[in-house]
Amino acid sequence: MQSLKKRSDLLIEEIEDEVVIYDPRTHRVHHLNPMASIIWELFEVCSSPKEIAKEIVDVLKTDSSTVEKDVQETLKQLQVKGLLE
Amino acid sequence: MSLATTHFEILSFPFELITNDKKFFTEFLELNSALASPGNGRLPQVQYSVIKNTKYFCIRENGKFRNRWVHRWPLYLSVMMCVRDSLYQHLKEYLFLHSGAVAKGNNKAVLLAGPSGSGKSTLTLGLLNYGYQYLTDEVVVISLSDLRVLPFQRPIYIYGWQSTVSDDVGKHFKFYRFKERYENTVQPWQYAVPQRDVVLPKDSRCEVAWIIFPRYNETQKGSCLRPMSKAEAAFKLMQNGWNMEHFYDRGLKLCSELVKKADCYQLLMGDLKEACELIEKLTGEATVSVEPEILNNIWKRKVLL
Repeated sequence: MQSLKKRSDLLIEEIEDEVVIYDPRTHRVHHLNPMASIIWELFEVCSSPKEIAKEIVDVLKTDSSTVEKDVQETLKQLQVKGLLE
Repeated sequence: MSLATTHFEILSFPFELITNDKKFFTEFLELNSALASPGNGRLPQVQYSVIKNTKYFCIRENGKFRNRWVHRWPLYLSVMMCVRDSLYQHLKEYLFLHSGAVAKGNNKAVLLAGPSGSGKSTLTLGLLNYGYQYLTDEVVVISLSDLRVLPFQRPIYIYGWQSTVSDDVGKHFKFYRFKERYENTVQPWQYAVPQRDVVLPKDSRCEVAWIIFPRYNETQKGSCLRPMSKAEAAFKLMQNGWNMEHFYDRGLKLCSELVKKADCYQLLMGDLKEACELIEKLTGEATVSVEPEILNNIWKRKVLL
């Protein structure tokens, strides 16, 4: 199962519903688009990618397969960027 | 060997310059006349020596070798890059961003931020024809105490200007042309030194009201201005920091504060006149009418970023 735990040492700034992350290990900055920012925020309350997708589908009333795909892709990218534990 | 010495300050940081080349000495002072202030009697923190021997001009910083050049003209840029590095290293009370800036009325600044080749310098020169005042090119200085922009009126380094610049641009800058050519280039270089009519007093402080990220694309027809999310703007400012390593976590907070106070845009730029007009419309009413050919004169030439 994919980790949904944000690294605790990251510096996070939420600006108008979008998230900017500073990684003090690599000194790199990351900008999450609005959808990725929502997924990032849902890490706090959800325990699995499926649960995140369900939350989004419930609110946006949109196609669940597309949302699940987007969530998986976002998680993959966050992992590649080393932002998850 | 006769040595010339001068003390100068930039952002109140004291430097000393020693050289045995009188021509370099005179021209260095002229080129940086808008940027540097005379020494204020304080002990210089950094000393630069530029000593010409039989073959090279050698640049040393506090006695330590930094660089050497066969020709005189690269010295000006090279010494100023050393000076900039010293400022980044020593001045922790400022955030330095890779950006140009002009000011309009009420001390409101327009930042033109972005990497080399994005069109910042060309746009900066172009906007001076629209009643803006020159704040800086390439290095924006933000005071951490109030997040305002300080003037850093360095000369703009330009290459490829084969003929005299149009009178309207020329009246705001004094151009120094150097005949020497660098080994790998075929075009002479020039240095555009801002003149008094466009130079704000050194103690000016301008509020950052607009942050624009130009992106020059020569194949694009026209220019267009697109609103940018503040998060993306903060992200891009972080990427364009010269001394961000001093701040780490605070850097993100500072950039975030800057974008929250400003309107942020991306400028897709294919036509300089249109780009200037879009910015003029954004920042206030028109004040000066500019002939298209004046701007085209700027546009056709390259500005070293």
